[in-house]
Amino acid sequence: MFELNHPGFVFFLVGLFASMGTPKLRKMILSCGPFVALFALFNLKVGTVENLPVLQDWVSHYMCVDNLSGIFVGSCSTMGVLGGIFACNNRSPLEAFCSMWYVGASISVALAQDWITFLFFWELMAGTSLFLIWNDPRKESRGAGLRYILMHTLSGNCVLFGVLLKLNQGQNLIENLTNGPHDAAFWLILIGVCINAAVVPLHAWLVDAYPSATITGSVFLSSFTTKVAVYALLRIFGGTELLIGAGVLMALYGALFAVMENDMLKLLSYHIVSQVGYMVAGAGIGTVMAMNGATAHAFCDILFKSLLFMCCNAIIFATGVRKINELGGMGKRYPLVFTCFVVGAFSISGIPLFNGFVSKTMTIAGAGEAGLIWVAVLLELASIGTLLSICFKMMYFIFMAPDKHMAPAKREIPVNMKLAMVLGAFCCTAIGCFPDLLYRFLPFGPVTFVPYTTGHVVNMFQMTFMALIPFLLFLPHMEPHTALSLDTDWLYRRPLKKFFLGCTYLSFGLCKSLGHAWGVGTGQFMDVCNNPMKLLDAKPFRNKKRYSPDNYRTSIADTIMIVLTVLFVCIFYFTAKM
Amino acid sequence: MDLMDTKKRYKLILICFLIALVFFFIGKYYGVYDLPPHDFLEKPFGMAMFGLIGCGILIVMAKIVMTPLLQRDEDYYQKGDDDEDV
Repeated sequence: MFELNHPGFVFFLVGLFASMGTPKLRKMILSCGPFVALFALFNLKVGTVENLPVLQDWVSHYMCVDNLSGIFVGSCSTMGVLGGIFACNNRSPLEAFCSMWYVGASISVALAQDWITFLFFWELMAGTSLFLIWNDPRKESRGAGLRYILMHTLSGNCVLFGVLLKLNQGQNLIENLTNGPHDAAFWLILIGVCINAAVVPLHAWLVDAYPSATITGSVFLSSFTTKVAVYALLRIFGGTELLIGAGVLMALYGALFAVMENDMLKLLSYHIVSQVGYMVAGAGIGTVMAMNGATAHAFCDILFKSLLFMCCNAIIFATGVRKINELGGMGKRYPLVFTCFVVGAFSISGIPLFNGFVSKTMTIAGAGEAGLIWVAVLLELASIGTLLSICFKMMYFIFMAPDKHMAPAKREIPVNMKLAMVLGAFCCTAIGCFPDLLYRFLPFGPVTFVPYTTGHVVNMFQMTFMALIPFLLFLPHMEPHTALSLDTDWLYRRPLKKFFLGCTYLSFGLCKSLGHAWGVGTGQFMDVCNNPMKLLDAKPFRNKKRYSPDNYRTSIADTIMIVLTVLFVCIFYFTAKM
Repeated sequence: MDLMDTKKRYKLILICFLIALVFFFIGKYYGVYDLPPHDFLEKPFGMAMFGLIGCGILIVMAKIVMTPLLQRDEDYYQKGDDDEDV
């Protein structure tokens, strides 16, 4: 039997106990329990393989630790700790349960070695994360959750059919499929993973669902589903060239849409799409530096994106306002949140001394090293978009612009939220200042990339300050407006919905008409059955509804007359013969 | 809302340009531009110009092209819809 050295299973237990305990006990379990998972992580050794016989012919390889799974388990566990602290005041036992099981399932996906275990935890991840959306009482969360689970069901089914085909080919263990045959299994698994990675145009579920989740739920959501999908891309599809274009498109698309966005969490969700684009492109390039860069960026993204989500959610928690154009002056009111936000914003924008600088530049350099200059240029352009929408737009309009007094302070930001933000900011800065803390764990070979060269630092600062000039020039036009940006979800929320509704009405109408016709037909048939003499259409029978022998019986006098006539005819005939 | 006044904005723009220029001279001093460039980003002040033009392009794309094309009222999906669930 398995021992409790699987960090994912520790999170399952934490979630179980937290959901059963009193609010005080839950607070304690959520804030301290994830540290046990970190302890389990530190005790894991590369090369550990553990199996569990489940069925007669099937053994689950539920834990296989290698360098790639190790670094993803590390980042997920760290985020589990930060998320646990941030969410420990949560009053909902269901949310506490689901958030911890979501973390556990994500870690278990990264540690799974065989397809079925991978698929099981992949589905568990979708199921548990759904309740982080549905637990929010807002009306729009209901629909967003439904759309979220529909997309994830599609993703899960694609992976399921791909896995079944793989099992049919006798491949039980997960392996890189890029160099194998590009058959139906390859494409099905790729599509399934791409849906979870929010590859454009299959990304709309993310921007729709994450802002609709609960305040603590969206912090968890921002970190796991897409990063686990990136893990799957790196492990299964590393070197698939198709992903380069998809990644670049994601990076630019997310950055552009973020510039228009007014909702804080929607804006950050677009930046998840954008940042995951770097990782997808890195996985597609497939060289050691690019793959290492993608892995490093996934690790850093979990930290800075969760930090940004925590800061914005802390403001939403305190004021109840989500829209950027209703905020302003938050820097003076919440200086700690502002400081942590600055760290997160500098990190995501790749400013030196923060963790995005050591990971993003590596991915872009990976593209340059592989000779893909235009990929590197477009990824740099996307990073300017990040700088524009988070470092300039969000930071100015939320924290530095004059207060509009539309967001009165309703609640104090609790200490646990502040602590989680400070810890997140500390991790971002520590990795940014000492990149070797991260680089030595990168799985695809030794890291030759040096981020802190004079050239990199000088170029980055030059780009940042010059990019600020257009923002300042266009400042009066940069303030976002209350509006909704149409995205690819328009297709299934408008025309496709109308098509399906039309089909439903059509089939309903058809059924109704057919039912009516059937009713009329059977009624007439029954009438004929009841009175077949109707067919003769003779006057005496026409209006008789049911058959009655009395209607058609001749009178007794007629019968006697006929019998007597026949009798007399016979008598005359026979007497005449004799 | 009282955003930054024009005078202050132009002052900040000038400061940004001067800082970028300072970094250019730091780069020149440390020999960053001595090696032949692989691409235009590695040319002297290349990254700075890329930042300036790139940011301008993104603002124009997002605010002038995409906003009128893609932005609708907030209740766009709820309008005339009895069933908002899907």
